[in-house]
Amino acid sequence: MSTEKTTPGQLFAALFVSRLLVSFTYISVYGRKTDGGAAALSALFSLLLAFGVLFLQRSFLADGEESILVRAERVSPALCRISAAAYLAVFLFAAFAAAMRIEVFTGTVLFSDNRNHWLTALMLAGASYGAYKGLRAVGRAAAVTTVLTGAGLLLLVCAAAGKIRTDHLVSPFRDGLSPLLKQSALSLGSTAEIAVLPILRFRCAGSAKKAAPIWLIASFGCAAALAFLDRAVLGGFGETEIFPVYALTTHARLGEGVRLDALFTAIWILCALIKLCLYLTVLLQVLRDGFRIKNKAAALAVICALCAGSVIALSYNLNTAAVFTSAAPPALFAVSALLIPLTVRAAERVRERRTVIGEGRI
Amino acid sequence: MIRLSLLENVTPAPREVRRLSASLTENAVALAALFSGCFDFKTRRTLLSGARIEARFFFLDGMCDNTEIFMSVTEPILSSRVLPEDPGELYEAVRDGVSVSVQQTELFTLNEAKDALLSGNLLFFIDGEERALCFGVQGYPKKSVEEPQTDMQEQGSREGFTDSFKDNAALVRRRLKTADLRLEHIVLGTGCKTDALVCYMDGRADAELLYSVKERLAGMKIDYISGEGCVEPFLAGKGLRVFRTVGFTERPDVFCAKLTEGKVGVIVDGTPHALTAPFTLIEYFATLDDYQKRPFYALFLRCIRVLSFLCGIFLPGVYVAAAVYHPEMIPAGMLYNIVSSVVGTPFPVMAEALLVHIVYEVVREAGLRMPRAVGQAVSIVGALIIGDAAVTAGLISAPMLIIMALTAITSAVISDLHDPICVLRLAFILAGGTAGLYGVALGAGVLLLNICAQEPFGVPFTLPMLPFRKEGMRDALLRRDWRKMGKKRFVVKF
Repeated sequence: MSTEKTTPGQLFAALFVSRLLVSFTYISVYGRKTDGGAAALSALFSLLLAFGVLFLQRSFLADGEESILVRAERVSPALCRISAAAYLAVFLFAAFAAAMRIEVFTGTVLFSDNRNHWLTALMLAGASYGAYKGLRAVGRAAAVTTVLTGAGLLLLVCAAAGKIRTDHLVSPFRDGLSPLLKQSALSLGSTAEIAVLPILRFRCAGSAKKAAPIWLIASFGCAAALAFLDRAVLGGFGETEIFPVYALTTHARLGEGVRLDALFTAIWILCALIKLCLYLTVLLQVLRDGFRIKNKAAALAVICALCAGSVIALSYNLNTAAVFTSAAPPALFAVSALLIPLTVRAAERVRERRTVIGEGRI
Repeated sequence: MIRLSLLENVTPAPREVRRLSASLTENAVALAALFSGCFDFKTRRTLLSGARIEARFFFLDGMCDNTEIFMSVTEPILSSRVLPEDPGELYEAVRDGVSVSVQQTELFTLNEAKDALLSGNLLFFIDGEERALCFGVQGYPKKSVEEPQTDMQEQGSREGFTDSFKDNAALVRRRLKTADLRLEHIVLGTGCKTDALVCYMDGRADAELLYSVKERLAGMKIDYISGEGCVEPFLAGKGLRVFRTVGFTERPDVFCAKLTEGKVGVIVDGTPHALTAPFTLIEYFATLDDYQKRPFYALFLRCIRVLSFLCGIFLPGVYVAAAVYHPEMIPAGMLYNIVSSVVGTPFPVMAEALLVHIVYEVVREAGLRMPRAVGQAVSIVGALIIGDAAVTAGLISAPMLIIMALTAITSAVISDLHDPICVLRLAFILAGGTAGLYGVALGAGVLLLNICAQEPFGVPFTLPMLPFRKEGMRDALLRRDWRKMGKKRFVVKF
């Protein structure tokens, strides 16, 4: 598995689909007081911040570079283990949060009359299968999902565009700069995919110089567009819905009253599957590089059991779950996308200097 | 099949290399012992060189052409007036001059003699000589070249492969008149020793691909090969796959076309289907007719096939999902008609779909297995009378019958895909009936992952779309004009 390479297009397709799902399943419980106009602008502001984070991670993103954990191992085995443990915690949480979103979604929107967890469990099982098959399979499936998602988005925009009301739009700075900054932090913090790059970049054969910026622009651009449409079509009503983008799709109709929300939700299910596959793949890579655990089947079984167990345990308090999964990401993002890469890079530089000084003395 | 399972754990004894004896009697006794109880094992004794040297012919009656035996072997030998009196010189005289047979080899061991007899050859032993001559005089019963039964085409050749691998080799050789065409003979199976040919174009077929094919064929541990389906799992390798990753074809023209693309083919004796490897998903949707027609029409036909495939898999499941969980997706007028049809039926929509699906498969299977004269009547009775009567009686709804009938027709568009479509359709009906469109989407996602994970012989199953290969796209959905395709050698690089 560690030698299996994919193409930049496929890897970033997986990252795109994964990030887009965050926009689709944005829970407005946490951001209830945030204006939709600010949400759209904040996505663009997050894009700038994301470019900054990518710049800080640039040493791990060049073609031919090794995984961040392998480089950490070279500096110090202890650093490798600590980084791996941190990544494990972050991506376990990310996988759990993604599964929790699906659980909340199915519990509130899809099967609100009949609570059962089997759809989430099946989703985790399907994602395990994808992760077991490897990054190449996930990347190719993501490429197909990207095309379907793009078509779905286009359909949504076309269906919803006719219902835009300019009187729903308000200034994004109506409540000051604070909501904008909060939303930007939340939006960036929800982009755990940036933290995936230093771990999986080495499994991507080819230059990512074009693919990475296109991915960021497409992801945050779509997020901004969805937030704008949400505000412009639904107005204040969108903020009363737990899943405002889903509420938007219920208003998107084809021809004479044919609702398309089920179709869009089916596409989101595909996106959710790819997202979980990606996170499980990352976890397998971390276990392999950081702890030399190569038994994929056993690792996946344990991870899925943990995720499913946590989801079921928290599912009986959906509000808590919704808040929990929305509040923690920024802190985890700071650790995984900034702290660990910068620490490893700094440790590498210190080691290089010591080596040079040592050679100079000799 | 039961015999196969009983013999599963039996390890075949290592082959004893027993050389032929100089004594004709010993050789005759050994061969008679090997074929004891076989009514078709025949031998003819003769005296040569002025009745000084004894010789024998051995053959299996029914496997040899008696006229060929007479014309090229026995008549020249027996009518020859001047023959050496030394056994060695006599042997060489027969080998080099007397016999007029062009297919002639020498045998040195008892196993070689046994295998040669079993392949329909005539053996010639001389007393005092440790060698034997083998003459290729096969005349076993076989079918002639006929129109293919499975790969139906509107245009192009009407010749199909036969059950004889030699005839099939000739059909291929006739179409590819190039010295680059290699037809390597191999023997498959541990007990049956079925003849097969590994076919490829030297300079076009990838060396690693060729090695993999040969290695997998050599590793076949199977007692009896009843058809190409027995070879395919060994060639495809391990792993759970919904779609085949080894191609079958009954047409020599299609087989030759795939060889020119750098693929490796396997012709197995006793089956009219040849195998090609590797086989990618897009090949399911391409037929020979596409290459005979204009590119724009070929594109239309391929799109029709892709849509039929998707319809065959998803349509019943989506209908069940929409009818049960998402009625808002159905236009109001159509929804009213569906509801009025469904409301009087005793079964839930999912159960109805499963029932009709199973009944259709039963009728189809009955139509396949029954004698032709009766099979058509069964199909008509099943499809028209039962279906119509069931709707009239209110047991199933008319929309469901229409959906399943449409699905049945679309799954017949690509007969190669019938097996996976049948199973997947069932799975998606269950998914749609239990979780609506979300279950269908989840199932589609897992199926997509399975397809994307397949890499037969290291070649992505989704080539040339994923990963994207520009040179391969000239014959994906859109086929380029032959004037452009013919400019460059048509080999897709793996």
